[in-house]
Amino acid sequence: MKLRSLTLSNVRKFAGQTATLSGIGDGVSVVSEANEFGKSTFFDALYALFFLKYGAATREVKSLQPQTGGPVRIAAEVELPAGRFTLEKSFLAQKRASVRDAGGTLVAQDDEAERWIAALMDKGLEGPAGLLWVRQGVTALEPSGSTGAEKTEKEKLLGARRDLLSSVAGEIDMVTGGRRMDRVIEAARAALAQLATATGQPKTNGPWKDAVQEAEALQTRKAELEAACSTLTASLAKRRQVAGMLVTLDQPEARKARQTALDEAERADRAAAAHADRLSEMRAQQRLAQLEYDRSHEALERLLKQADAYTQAGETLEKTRAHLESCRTKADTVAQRVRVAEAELRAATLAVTTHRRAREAAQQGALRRNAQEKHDALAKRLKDALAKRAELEQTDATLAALRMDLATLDRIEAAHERYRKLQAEAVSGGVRMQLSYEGSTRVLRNGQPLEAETHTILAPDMFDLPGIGRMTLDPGSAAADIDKVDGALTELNGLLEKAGVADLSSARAATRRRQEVQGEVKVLKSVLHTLAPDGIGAIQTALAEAAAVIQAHVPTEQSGADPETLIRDLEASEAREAQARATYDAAVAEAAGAQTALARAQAQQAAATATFETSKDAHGDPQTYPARKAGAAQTETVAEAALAQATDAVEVLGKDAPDRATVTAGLARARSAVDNAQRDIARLTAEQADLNATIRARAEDGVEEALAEVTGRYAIAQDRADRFAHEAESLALLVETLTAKRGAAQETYFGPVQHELAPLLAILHADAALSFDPASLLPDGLARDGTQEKLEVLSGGTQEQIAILTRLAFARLFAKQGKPMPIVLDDALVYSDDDRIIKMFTALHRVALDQQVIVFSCRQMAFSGLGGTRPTVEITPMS
Amino acid sequence: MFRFLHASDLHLGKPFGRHAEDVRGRLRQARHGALQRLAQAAREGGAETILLAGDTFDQETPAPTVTRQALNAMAQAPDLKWMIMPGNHDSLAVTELWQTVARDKPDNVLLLLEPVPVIVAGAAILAAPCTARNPGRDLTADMDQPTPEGLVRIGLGHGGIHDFAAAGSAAPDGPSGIIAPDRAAQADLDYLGLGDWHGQIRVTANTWYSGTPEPDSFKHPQTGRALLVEIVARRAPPLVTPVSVGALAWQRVTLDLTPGEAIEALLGDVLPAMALRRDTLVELVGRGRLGLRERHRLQASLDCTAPDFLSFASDLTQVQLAQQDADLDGIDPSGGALRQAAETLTARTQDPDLSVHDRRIALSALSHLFSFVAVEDAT
Repeated sequence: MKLRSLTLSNVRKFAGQTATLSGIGDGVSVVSEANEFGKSTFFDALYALFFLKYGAATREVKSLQPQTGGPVRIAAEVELPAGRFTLEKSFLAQKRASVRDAGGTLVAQDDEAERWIAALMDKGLEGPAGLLWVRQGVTALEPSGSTGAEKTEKEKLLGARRDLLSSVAGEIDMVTGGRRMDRVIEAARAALAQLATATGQPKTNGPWKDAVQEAEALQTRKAELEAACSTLTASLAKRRQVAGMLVTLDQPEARKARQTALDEAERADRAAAAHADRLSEMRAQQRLAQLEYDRSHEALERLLKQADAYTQAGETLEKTRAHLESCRTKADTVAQRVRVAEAELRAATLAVTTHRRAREAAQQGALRRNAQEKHDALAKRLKDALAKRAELEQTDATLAALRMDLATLDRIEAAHERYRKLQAEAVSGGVRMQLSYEGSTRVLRNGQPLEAETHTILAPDMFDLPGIGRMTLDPGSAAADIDKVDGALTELNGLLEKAGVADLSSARAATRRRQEVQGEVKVLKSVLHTLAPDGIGAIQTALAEAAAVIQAHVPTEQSGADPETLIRDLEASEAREAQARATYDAAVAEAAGAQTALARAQAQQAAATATFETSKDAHGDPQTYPARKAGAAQTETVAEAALAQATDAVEVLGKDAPDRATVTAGLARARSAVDNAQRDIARLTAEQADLNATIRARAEDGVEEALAEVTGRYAIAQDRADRFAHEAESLALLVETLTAKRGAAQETYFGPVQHELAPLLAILHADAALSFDPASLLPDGLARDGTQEKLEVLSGGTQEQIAILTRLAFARLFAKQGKPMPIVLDDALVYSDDDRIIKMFTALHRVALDQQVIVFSCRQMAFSGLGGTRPTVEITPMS
Repeated sequence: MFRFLHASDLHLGKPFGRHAEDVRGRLRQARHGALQRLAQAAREGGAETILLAGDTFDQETPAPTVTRQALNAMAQAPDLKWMIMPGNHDSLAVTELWQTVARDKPDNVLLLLEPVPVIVAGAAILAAPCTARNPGRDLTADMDQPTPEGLVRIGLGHGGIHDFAAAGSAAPDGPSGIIAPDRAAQADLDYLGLGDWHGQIRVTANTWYSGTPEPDSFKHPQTGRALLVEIVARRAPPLVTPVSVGALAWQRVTLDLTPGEAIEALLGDVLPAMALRRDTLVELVGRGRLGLRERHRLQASLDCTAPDFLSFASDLTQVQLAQQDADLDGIDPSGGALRQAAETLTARTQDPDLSVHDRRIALSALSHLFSFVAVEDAT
């Protein structure tokens, strides 16, 4: 359906007037007028025409009536697939309704007309058209009031949305499970909540938690009882062990055996002690006999040693005396040899001195002769060097006079070459004048006659021809540059004059001469250097030194002796002296040794004398010695026999002696066995008493029975906790499965409207998406930039935009179902800023491609950018 | 002639911790009451002697009340002689117990603590008391010792025999141990009374396990029993008569289920009569397959029946889910989200890639869903 015109007669401010809105286009039509123009009157009238009964006298209808009263009449021209129709309703004073076709034929009237219009609007307000009206200032998706009327309208709108979505996606309850599904999920959640927390853990005070806690408490109790049972079992085992040990220890046979062993050990110990005493006494006697024997033996030994010492000292004294005499004789002999050797040494030394002096005199003579020879040679070299130096000085003077060197010659030759070239060029460019005379008359130039030959005229020149007159020759353009030739000649002459030569050949000769003199100077310098490499002064100095040597060595008689003879004599005398010194030194050393041996022999003789005197005193009277010796020997023999007897007795006792350590250890062991047994019996008795007490206490507690019971109860509790866990897990799975399926179903259900809404929403918010509430079938949240926001927390402008876009989406769904309905906006978008309004205009135009959109607005400037068709309003007095 | 009652394995003082408090109380009470019922059976059978072949007490150190009250109960039957031999649970190693019993016992109680013949009423009792929980040798080997000529030789042992099948036992799953099965013949016994196996077993004509007078688990389906034995003369075959002395019944029930099962009727067939239920413990194990609705119904029936019994435990974890469209239609016939959730959970219950645990979780979740939907639809 498309609305083409709307006519109001006697409606509100148009009292007694007819206001006609016409020219409504297919797409966006904008009625943008100032306030009080009556836009809302048109909107409300349109609403009344389509949705209010003609016979109604409600507040909404009465609000249309002007102050002046009278019937309210509203008519609209609509375009349907079947053609154009005019719908008209009169309210209040004249209650009427009619539908006429394009030809004015009445199609339906009054109630029939109402049904026709309701069918057209698809059940009126309850139908889809009710979704498409946006009144002034509406920002919510549905009426938010709580009055009965508002609730009714809300339910009607919900019904309309449900019908629409069901028609495209199926019955919502059928798809999503509806309230039945909700209640089942709630029941499952409630059952789960009784058991578990949101994280799946047992809920405090819940049966699961109680079962878990009971199982844990029983497990703790079980562990305690197990420990108690373990203690009891261990105590029982220990008591059996203790009892067994006590029986073993406390048996009379065992006691008797321990006591017998102790008695025997003590008896053995006593016997061993007595034997040890006897042995000890015998050992003391043995030690006394030993002392006695040692003393007698020492006395005899001492006597024998004193006798030997006396004899030996006498022999030693004799030997030392003989030795002393021998040493004296030898010392005298050696002293004589020292004196002989000393005389020979002195004679040899004198001979050496004599021969050395002769040799030095001969050496002085040789030095003087050498100095004389050197002096003579130096004198000759000095003379030659002086002569060569004079010659060199002369040659240097000659060379200094010869100024012509190779560089100068090169410059002269270059100047000559330039001159020659310039002159040749001048001659080749000049005028050749060939003279041949037949008489004496001669051609004169500058008063001088010219020879009969060919003359080259290089520059204009005048010639006197005697008798004829004067002839001027001018080579013209071919004339040479005489100035250049003259310049070159002047330069050449200057160089020659400076070099002191007349011409080039002289210059070359002078150069060659200079080179020759230079060669002579070089030779002379070489000779002079050979004669006096260190200079003439050095020769003169060496000459003076040689003269000094000559003067220093005055010739003697022996200066002329044969040096070799003198040397041989000297060597012979030196050998003799060395031999004599060696002999002398050996004699002196031998004499010193002889003296030392003599001194030592004297000391030995003194010592031997002293020893002899001492031993003599110790030895005593030699006459009584045999008797003393025999007495001492007898004493020793008696002591030795006593010692042997004591030793035998000790050996016999020692062999029979028991091992005291073994006997003592045996006694200690026997005593400790008795003591230990008594101690162990006491300890085990006490331990048995303790164990009895422990076992009795545990047994009276019935810990095994309690453990068996608790073990069973723990198993039950754990089993119960496991069942609750199973229950919680299964309920969680159920909730998860139901929620997932409902979510998937809702997604399917809201898919079509989401599909229509997505491109419109993208115009305002890129990458944004709306979620839908399955109860209200309206958006309830906006997801953008990764966050989900509830609609009610968004700005008024955004809420308003989403409300309109949602209606546009629903409108597109209608259109796709073949039920295109006009979208009517009355002063909508009051909260939107300029930028968003422009985007909303774009969204409106997008929807208006196949949908009629009628916009009423007082914001003329803001809505000027909306574009679209601008319907006209004509107001005329009622006929 | 020597006539006596052979019993064993009273396990007095057994705590039954795996049971609820009230059940525990009744179980322990019934166990204690076995003494009185044994006395009654002995009197009714004309026996004056009751031989207890081990494990009279459950613990090595029972609570004083257990021993004292047991001895008191025996003292209450002064016309009877109680001969008690230690078993593996109350072996001789537990000297504290036997010291206490010896100290407190009445005159009509005789303790068989030594492997020596004990002469009583014309019979020689050759006991093989357990020296430890695991003695590690055949204690009955000492039974071949001589006894006075003409006296009936009664052996009393405790433990498993080493070759049940060879002994011709009707219980191939009987206890395996080290007692020679032909001990009676080897030791020239007229009767060998054994304990340790809680079920009653005839090993040979003169070798018997008496079984426990009061069962303590579902392992042995019989009610509590003892044996009345009469031996008319030396080497005469014993006349052995089983007597029922149990107070409570332990019954394990297996339900084989298939879809379409008449569940209530099936339960009526397998469960004991109403009059017996108060004294019966039941362990029901379901097997097979059931649809969701049937499973729900079975669970409801079991929940309804359980209070009839002293104890009732059921295990339906082995019952597989039979996928039935009617069940899914009951949840959501429209094929919407509820139906899809149910189908997802159903698929999980049969997904071979999931663990058994996860499949059971899925089955529980599905069962919950069915319950919640049923409640929702009912309201």
